[in-house]
Amino acid sequence: MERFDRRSFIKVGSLSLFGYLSFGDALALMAAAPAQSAPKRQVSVIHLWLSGGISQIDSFDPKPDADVKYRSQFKPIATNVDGIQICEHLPMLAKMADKYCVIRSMTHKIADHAQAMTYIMTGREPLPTIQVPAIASVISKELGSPNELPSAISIPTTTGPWEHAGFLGPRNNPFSAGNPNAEKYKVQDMELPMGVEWARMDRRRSLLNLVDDNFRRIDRSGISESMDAYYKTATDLMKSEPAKKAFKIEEEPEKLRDRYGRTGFGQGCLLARRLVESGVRFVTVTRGLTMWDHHASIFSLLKDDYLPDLDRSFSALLEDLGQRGLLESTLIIMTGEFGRTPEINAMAGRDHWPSVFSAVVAGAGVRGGQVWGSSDERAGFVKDNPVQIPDLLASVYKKLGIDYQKEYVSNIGRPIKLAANGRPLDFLF
Amino acid sequence: MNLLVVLMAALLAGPQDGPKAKVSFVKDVVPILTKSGCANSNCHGSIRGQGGFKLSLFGYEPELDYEAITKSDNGRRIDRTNPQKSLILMKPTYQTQHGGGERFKIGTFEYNALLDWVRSGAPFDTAGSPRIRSLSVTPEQVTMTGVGSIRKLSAIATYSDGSKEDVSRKVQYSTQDETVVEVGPQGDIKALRPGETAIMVRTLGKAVAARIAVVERPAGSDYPSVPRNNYVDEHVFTKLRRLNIVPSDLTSDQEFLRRTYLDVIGLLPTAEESLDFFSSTDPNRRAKLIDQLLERPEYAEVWATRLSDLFRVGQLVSPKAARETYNWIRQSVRDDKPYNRFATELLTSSGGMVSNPTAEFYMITSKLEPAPIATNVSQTMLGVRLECSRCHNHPFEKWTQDDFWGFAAFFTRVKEKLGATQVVVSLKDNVELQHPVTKKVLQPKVLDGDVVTAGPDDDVREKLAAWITAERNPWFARNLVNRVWKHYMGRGIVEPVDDFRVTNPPSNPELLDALAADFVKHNYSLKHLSRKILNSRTYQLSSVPNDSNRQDNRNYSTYVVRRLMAETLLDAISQVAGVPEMYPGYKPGTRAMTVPSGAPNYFLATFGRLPRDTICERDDQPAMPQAMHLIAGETIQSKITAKNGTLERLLGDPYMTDEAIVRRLFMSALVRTPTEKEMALALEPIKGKGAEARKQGFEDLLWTLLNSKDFMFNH
Repeated sequence: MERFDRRSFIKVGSLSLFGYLSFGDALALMAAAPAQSAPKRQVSVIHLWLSGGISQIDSFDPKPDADVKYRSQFKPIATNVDGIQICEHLPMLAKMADKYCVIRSMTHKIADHAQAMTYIMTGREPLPTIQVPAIASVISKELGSPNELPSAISIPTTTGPWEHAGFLGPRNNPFSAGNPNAEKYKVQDMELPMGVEWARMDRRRSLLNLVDDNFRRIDRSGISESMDAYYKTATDLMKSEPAKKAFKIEEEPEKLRDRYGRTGFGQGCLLARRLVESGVRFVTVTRGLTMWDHHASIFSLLKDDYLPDLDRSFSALLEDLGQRGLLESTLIIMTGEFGRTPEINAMAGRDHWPSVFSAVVAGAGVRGGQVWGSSDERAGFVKDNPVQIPDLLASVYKKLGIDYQKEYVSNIGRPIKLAANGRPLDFLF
Repeated sequence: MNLLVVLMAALLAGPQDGPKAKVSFVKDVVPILTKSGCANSNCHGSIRGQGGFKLSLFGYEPELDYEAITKSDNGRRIDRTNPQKSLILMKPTYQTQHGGGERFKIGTFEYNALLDWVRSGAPFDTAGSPRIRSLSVTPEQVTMTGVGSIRKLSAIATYSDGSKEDVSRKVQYSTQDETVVEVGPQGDIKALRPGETAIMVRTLGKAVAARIAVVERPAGSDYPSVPRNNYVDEHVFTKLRRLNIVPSDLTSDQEFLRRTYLDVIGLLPTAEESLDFFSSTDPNRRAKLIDQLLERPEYAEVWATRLSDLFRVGQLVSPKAARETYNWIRQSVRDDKPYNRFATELLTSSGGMVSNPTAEFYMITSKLEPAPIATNVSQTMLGVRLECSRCHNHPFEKWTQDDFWGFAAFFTRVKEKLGATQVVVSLKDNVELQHPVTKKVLQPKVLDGDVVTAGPDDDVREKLAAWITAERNPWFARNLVNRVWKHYMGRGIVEPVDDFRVTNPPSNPELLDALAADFVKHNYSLKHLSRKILNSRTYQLSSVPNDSNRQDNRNYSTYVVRRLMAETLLDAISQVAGVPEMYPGYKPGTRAMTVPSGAPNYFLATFGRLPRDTICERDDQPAMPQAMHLIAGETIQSKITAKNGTLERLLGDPYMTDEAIVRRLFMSALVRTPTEKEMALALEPIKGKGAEARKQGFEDLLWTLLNSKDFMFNH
């Protein structure tokens, strides 16, 4: 048996990440390696962003005994953890309750979409004068990227300014990957245009380099270098087959793509897995244009589309990450920006409700098989253990090795703490 | 028994105010705590205090500080029987665990003052003792000659009884740029390198700034005589001479032409316009060109866009409403409506968004409430950031929470409601606004001024508008003038432009004052102001630095190079390539500068068109998606290969040689001629090759020109 030295072991390990070896082969090779372990993977975050606000009582916090004015039309079902029940339309997730923690006591006071979204991403209500950076951007700034890929990516796009880098500057904005469920999916501007190959592009760039000589005479602020650096970063990404490979969802087996579900969200979760595998630190996944904002016809929408889609994709993600040994190093957070009213409205829907809502957290050592916090008999108000968003943010930062009490100086000079005075939650890990 | 103790204490204590009464809590202890950094916003002065001990931020409320020091936590911070063991002395000298470390040593002036105070019984000042009214620093402005030179600042406090005191030892000094000047605890300053900065001086909630410049040598007889076109040059060049910085040369006609076109109308000059200008021998051709450009409709479009950015047009209203507001602004600029009238119309607006476009001014949050409106009005109309003082007194500036809520009280009646087809801003019946902490009902009060009375049916905003636009308002004119200046000159005299405060002094206050006064005198005319700035030599300076001004990025010794606005950039690309951009909802040929909202456009968003959700300035910094879009994106690629574009036309023109095409493209995009090397490299893939190679070679050249910094920047 050949002795595997550490270097070739790592090479083997990284080959498997890009799919050149099957997972089975990689396992076999790793088993044959000596006892030294590979360097521990850095933790990445996948944010399943249920924008619009998922209804707590119709999903993770059922109240079958509540009055008919409030209770879900759906029944709860048992999960594989004693005492935990969730909605019947999440059967695949129900079989994996030992893998995640359900928080039923999220709470805040903001009922407006944009303001609540900002609150979820930054721990603060939006201010007209300070552009507070979202968590993805903070992580991008603090941790950078191990390779040519951007460190924060949103699928299909960022949903609004609440996801942006604010005063950290646009270089820390999440990169929008596009819709991976599109036929012939590709990332915007990542390939050279038709008729232009790299040889031609390289010629263009050398002519550009000459023409830019004139500007260098007057450039005192180093902007030339900055821009040239970006051209280099962009071309490095565009020229890096392994980095671009991370986006090549078409290389996934059809069966796996089916398992995740052929929807924007489903393929988005699969793409997210590929991206964190390749070292991307923060990936946000949404449904794209459709939102969980069910002011009308909530039951048919949830039953026929939203819940099965979530169930399939989220459970597939947990399974897939688990099988690849990536669950330990991937923190998954599922939230909306608020919950929905316990009282069903006149259009058979539910309206915005921040007083209590649910979130689900998994991976990266999260203690699964638990429910934290509870709501009252109609999932209207917190009963035990309210959980604040800043504390959730602080927990994430801590897990990633970022000082959650660090302060940035904002664009108006006011100091801003990363997690807005949040403290890490003990019950999570 | 207790009575006996009291009597004994009284006998032993001596005179009523204690054995060593000379140490005052208000005038000595509080300033010393601020000076030692105890009351900073990142320590005990923060909203929650630190380690359970909370002081008022920078000592603005001595009563609270007295409570905290002598009474809270069972008064454990003071030990009257064993004063040296008081926590208030043990902690800052690090004789016991202290998160803030050592702030001063035993036996120092600070230590002794605090000790004396505790020994004297830790009293508060007697009722009616004078309080600080103002703080000043001398010198207010100084130019230091030679690195290593030293000066001493002194700080004088004026109290409510008229008395003055030299408080130089007791105030907190901090330098804004510690690489230029360092400042010691007694106000000694030392010059470290040529440059400029300000020293902030703070105590008891007051703050002032001393402006310091450092030069290596004063301007000597070899300092050139620089022509001055108008008062702008007077003020700019006077300062430059004081700093011994020589301004750059004047721009060439080519540089001037391109720059002025882009800054004034957001377009490149056409070939005909260029030819016209270059072939003119009129010595006043620059002034005449400026006059012409100011009369072009595109001038109004540039300012409509800038003002739409400022007032966040389009953010929370329908595209139709946004277009109406943009059009209204554009018309106002075309008419050169006096800016004071413009502002008044916005401030007193109401009605539906579409039929009353001025009402959009208030739609900056989805729920209209006095506090966010106050912040918005203050920042956009006055350039003053009140945000911090909403919850606590402002850490950098003199505004208190009372100031904030007094200002907010002007807007208690403004509300929005959803009309049949549009959102409507209206005035509801008066609702009282309570101070969030004291719960006292607030009366509308202007900043640094009086309470404004109004009847229940009055629109008190009218009085606010009158105060804002009054000639003596210190902020209104300066704010607008500063922004206009920044548009043309690349950097505000006050920077950031919406942060006017004592501790952020203008780099050239005489210039700012002169511009503001001229603006007011000429009926708040934007056009007059623009004309003055554009005709100055300062504006027309080259961007090529010389040895003396290479490091100067504040004093306009060279033109500040800046990237074109997203709209200008896209319009310029379309113009050079001869292929207009298409905006959904707008007719073909529409330019980016006239598209106020809606019509999302990847290029514009990527290059920094403002989403206008917060008040912010455009970010011109480069970013990944920009680079990728330029390298590989549709925008440029489709335009350079388009049928009927400029390139196709030129290539098909039998009268144009290859060299002539190269020259034409350089002139069109960069308003300059190619160097020999550039010409050679551009023609290399073309010479002697077939038609396809020729086409590709010129596409590559056009791509290069549109990607070049000379193109993307104004310089």
